[in-house]
Amino acid sequence: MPSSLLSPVERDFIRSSILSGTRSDGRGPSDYRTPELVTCLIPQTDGSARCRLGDGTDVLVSVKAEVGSVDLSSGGDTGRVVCNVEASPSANQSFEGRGADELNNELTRALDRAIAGPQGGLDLKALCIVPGAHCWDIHVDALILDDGGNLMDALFMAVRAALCTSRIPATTTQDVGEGQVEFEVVDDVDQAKAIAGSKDLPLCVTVHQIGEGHVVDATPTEALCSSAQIHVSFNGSGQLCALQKGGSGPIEPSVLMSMMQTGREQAKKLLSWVDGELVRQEKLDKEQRRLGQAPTSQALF
Amino acid sequence: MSSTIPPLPAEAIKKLLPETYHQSFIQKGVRPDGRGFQDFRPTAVHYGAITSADGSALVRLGGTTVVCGIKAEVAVPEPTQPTQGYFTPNVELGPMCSARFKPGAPSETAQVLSQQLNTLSLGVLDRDDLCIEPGQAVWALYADVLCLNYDGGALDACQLAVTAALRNLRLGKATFNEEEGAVRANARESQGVPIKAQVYTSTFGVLESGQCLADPSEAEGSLVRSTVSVSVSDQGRLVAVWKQGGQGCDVALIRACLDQAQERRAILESLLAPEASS
Amino acid sequence: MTDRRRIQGPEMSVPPLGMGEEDSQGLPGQDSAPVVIGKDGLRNDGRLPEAPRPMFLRTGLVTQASGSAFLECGRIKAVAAVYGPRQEKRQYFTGAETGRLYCEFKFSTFSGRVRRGHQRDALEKEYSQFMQQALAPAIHLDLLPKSAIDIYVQILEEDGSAAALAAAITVASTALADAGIEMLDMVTGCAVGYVDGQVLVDCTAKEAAAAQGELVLSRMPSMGDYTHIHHAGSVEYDLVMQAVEVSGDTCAKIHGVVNKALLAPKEE
Repeated sequence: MPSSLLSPVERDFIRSSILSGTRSDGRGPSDYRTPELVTCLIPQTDGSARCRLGDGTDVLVSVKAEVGSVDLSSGGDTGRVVCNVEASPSANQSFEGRGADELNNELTRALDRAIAGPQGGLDLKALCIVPGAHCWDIHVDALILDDGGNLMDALFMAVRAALCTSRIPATTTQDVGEGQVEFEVVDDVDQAKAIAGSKDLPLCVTVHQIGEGHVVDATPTEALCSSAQIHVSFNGSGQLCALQKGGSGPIEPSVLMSMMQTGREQAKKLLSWVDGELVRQEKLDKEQRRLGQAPTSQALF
Repeated sequence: MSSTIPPLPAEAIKKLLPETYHQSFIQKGVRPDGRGFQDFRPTAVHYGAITSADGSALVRLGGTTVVCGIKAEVAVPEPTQPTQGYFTPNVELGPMCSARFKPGAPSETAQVLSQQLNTLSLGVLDRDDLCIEPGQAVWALYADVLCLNYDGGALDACQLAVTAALRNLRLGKATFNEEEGAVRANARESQGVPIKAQVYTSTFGVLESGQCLADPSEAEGSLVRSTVSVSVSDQGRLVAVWKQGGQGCDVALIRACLDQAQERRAILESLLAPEASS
Repeated sequence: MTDRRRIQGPEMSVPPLGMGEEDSQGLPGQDSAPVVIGKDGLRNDGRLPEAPRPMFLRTGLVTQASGSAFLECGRIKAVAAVYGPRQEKRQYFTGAETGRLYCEFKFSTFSGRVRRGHQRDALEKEYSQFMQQALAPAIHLDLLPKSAIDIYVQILEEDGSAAALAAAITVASTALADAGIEMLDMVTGCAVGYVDGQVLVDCTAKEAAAAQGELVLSRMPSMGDYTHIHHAGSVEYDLVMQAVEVSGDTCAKIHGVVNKALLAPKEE
């Protein structure tokens, strides 16, 4: 985004207010805007979630499992996770045409790096159906509906929620002799199972360096004042899964350490909040099902 | 007119009036880099520069530097030509090698070069030698030529790099396994590819005056009205002649170019002679 | 969609099985997971865990460019060329009060074990972006309004993609200095891998495959600031901190090589 959209006075104001410990919307430097998380809202997918932060940021994630053939060059006994992030042109004026290409690529690669490999926590071996032949391809597709700052964190929250609530169909395999194995996808919805390891997925916290201080969950205006930011992803057991610097300014070593420390603390809080929210929604869903009411969580808007 | 302008330093003339600069040299019978009209620039070949490629060579022709790397893969042959392998040369003139080229799709120059290399390769390789199992599997050789520094003479350098890389190429002993439907190659028993004929290309620039400059550099290009590229094989046979540019030229001049190309061939041959598989 | 601007090969081709196997498996008869650190604490190529490969760096390979450099480090071969500063033709609505830095990172098609495509893939696009982030803090872009600097890095041969990015950053900043562009400091890059709770500096592709994760860090060695960092792989927080420190130190070591290359007489 163009830096000239912010006047020097405004920039100074934001910088000094962060140093004094308050932000223009009343939050402290390490306070998140209250996220809104809704799951299971697209019936055609195997799992979906939508995360909103503040008035702006809005990310929709869908998970779809497809049967694919295994990659023989990497052993042939693992499934795959394929990520794709696309920013809607309506989210920001600069996303029109090819304007969002760089952002799409950055977010897709960041998501890939954090969740598509063994570091993502998903049990890729469990996604294999017939070793040496077939596996599940988990397509994680994210759509950025609106940009109100801090896209990366919202994206990771939505992805975690979507994958945790995804159910992929059960399969039965049958040995037909001569080393040939056939499999069948079970249609029964009740037998569908959760994706193994989805509870170990990391969440991302973006810490912006603004002046001498740093903040989490920056608004677009705050992001304009920031010369550098780091995206840190932690999983439930406190391991660092991905780390990436953004922005075109330098970071001092000591500042980096304290930014990462902030990220680590916030990730812990965020993880327990997301998990609590998922449990709460599941309970609510069950309760409504029991009472025969239409589930409220399925409303898209 | 020139009498009213105070004498400029040579460097300034070179930048501001490149044509005048070169013309003043040509009139005295030399070229700015000290060569005579019939001299080629110093040429060097370095085999096996890229270890990740199955065959590679780095060629320097004066300032022009090109790297050719050949990657060997296996493919299913065309049903109409079940024994013929593939040889795919491509030239990459990226934005790195000169300010002339822009990022993105290959420029017209690069496309023409690729096409010329492809045409020349027909005489170099017998596609039937690339067969592993008729109708099932053949070698697909990708020869990608990357230009690192562009200073004219690209076709000469690229063709020399492809020739050298082909000589350096080692293919594993390949067997087609019907059960797997796949090809296994044994890298320990590797062998070269039979080369029908080595083809050497020499380019000449024709000036407006009808004079002929061997191996024109990029800077001399501003004087050159048309170019003649002559490709001859190691048996001394003529493989191809390309004349590019709008100005016509004498048949006698082409004949002189042919003779010079033959002389040049002998030099290039001895240059390539050292053991190719280093 | 076929690419009409290039000579087309077969529709599909695959590398033959078994090629380069003696390369990736080490000694014959070794059927367990590859041993990266031997009992003597040394790596397969005899290096200590914190030792980078020796680096060869030279300026002035691409004479057409404003500045250029060539780097060789183990099997890695990278060329960087800098063009500019030139006039920025594209007018952005921002008005260009600072210069623009354009980076292009490209693997050659024959750089790795598996052949790469001609078109830039997602990884190359991302690495271009990382290079831009890593180099921009060191360049006085504010002194170059309405102008642009182009940096092109070509990886002729790679040995692990993280190491290639680190090499690209180092060679690009050397080329920038060779072009005489005003900078605050050099930028040097270093890649490390995590193997069995240990930090290995400058991993080869084989070591990287056995690693639990990798980290690439770039730093302005005289000023000490980090200009870029990225990490992938789930490892303990403290180990990452250790890796940041080790790679920061290695960046300082590489600075010596860069200085020497810049002071050495030019090629040709």
